[in-house]
Amino acid sequence: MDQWILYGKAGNPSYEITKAWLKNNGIPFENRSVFQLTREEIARLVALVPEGAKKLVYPDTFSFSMINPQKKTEKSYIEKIHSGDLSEEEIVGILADYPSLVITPIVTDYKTVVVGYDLDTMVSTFRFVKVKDVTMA
Amino acid sequence: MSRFDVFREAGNPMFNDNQLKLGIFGPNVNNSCAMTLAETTFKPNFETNVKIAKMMEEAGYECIVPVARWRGFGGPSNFNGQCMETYTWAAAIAAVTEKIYLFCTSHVPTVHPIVASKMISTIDDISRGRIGLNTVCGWFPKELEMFGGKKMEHDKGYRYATEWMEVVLKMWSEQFFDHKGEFFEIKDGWQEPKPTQSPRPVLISAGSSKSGMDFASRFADFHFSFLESMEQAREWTNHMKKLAWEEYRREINTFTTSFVVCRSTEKEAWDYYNYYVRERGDDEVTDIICELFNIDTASQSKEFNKKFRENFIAGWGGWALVGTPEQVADKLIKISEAGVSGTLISFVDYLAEMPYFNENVMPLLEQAGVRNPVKNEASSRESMFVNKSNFFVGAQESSQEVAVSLATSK
Repeated sequence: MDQWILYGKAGNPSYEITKAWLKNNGIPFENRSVFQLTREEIARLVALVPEGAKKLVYPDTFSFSMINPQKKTEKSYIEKIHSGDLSEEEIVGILADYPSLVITPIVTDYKTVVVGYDLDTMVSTFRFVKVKDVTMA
Repeated sequence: MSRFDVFREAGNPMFNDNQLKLGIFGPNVNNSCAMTLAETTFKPNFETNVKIAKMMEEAGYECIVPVARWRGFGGPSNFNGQCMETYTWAAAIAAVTEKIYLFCTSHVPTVHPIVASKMISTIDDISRGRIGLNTVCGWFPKELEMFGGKKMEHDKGYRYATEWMEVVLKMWSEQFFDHKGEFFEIKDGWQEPKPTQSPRPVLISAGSSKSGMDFASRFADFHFSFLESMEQAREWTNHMKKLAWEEYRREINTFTTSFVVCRSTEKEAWDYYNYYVRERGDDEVTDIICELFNIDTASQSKEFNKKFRENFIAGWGGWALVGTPEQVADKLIKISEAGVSGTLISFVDYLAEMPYFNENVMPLLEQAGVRNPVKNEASSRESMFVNKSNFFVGAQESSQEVAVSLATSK
């Protein structure tokens, strides 16, 4: 059975409704805070996203500040990351130091990843996913 | 003696002396009637449903109508996705209750009429004559497609339901009958036991189209519909009574649904409404349902759309009973004055909110003469089952605790 993990941040409505959607569709998942993400896990997630590391980061300082109003240091990295001047590895390093830059929610089994609340992608991702093992003795 | 007289004489709660009858709608589905992500202790499981049913019996409600749902509508709440199947639900609730009338909601295309009639007869025995049948044709394509094939076209659906109902009625009333129709062929139809209720289990239906109203006029004892205004309630009731009498020489009553937010102050009631409907409402599932109902939002005024959507989020399009106990009672009395027999009500959190309603609104309805005080025999009656008394005490204690906390928090 696949192990799904939902990374989120308290107070983010998209994370809250994703959590509700998973629960109300009977999909077992482990709920983790985005602040628990390790460097290795971030690198694995980046590898799953065709658009690269930038896709895991808030697209602009405005949307970041809406969810993280007190994180001023992190805010300054948003433009830098999207400027194109940094390598993928450098971005992963920044995200490992400042996980709040990672957009939430993220739903993953480390084979596939859904970033943000994206209902269509979730429905197609969880089609045919085994949510309960009934062949156990 | 008319059919209604027979029901009345048999002591059927749906035909008791209460001018305004009360029931609840959808305690067997997640979120019940509210399309919201607001926090609630409500769970559509057996334990919660028994507690609710016991509270209702103590307060003298007439009935419970479950929702039949085979999958959720979507959205983050996956509204009504978790659903206790209604025949088995009714059988189980029947075994642990004594007075309340239970309905079984049945999608006619999902169950053969012989199976349905036999299950109802069986539950009739378990409940000692407290089971009724709510027939629905089904309108949610995704759930009916799970049964193989497409949802039937509207009029064909009602032709099917008509023949389905005819078979059920024959099963309940005849032996060794043959039937050959458009959809069913039955050779030497036979069933035992027959329902013990006199004249038969109460039938309800809620179709609002021409075919739906015709079906109700022909078979149902109560036609269910939404209210738009008190004038419309009066017109609808008169229309149904006239239609049933002129077409089929039958009596029929009307019944509606409402949602309740009752608090000690009006501000508190509307603040909570604002929270669970406007702040935490599941807009995604509301969009899906508006689309399913073919609601052309573009052609309606902003005010209409807002009210329509909010009523769906708040309580499946039911009539709004929001305010103080006096205001809620007043709105209920007006429903009764319009000629409607009663209303099903829903709460976001039944175990937390129903005790306050029962203790504060019910006495006002009694004072107004639309309901009679409850003759509480349940507590002195010997229990049929040992664990029944535990359920009863548990529900009573929790309802009292919550009522006290609601009253003191105001």
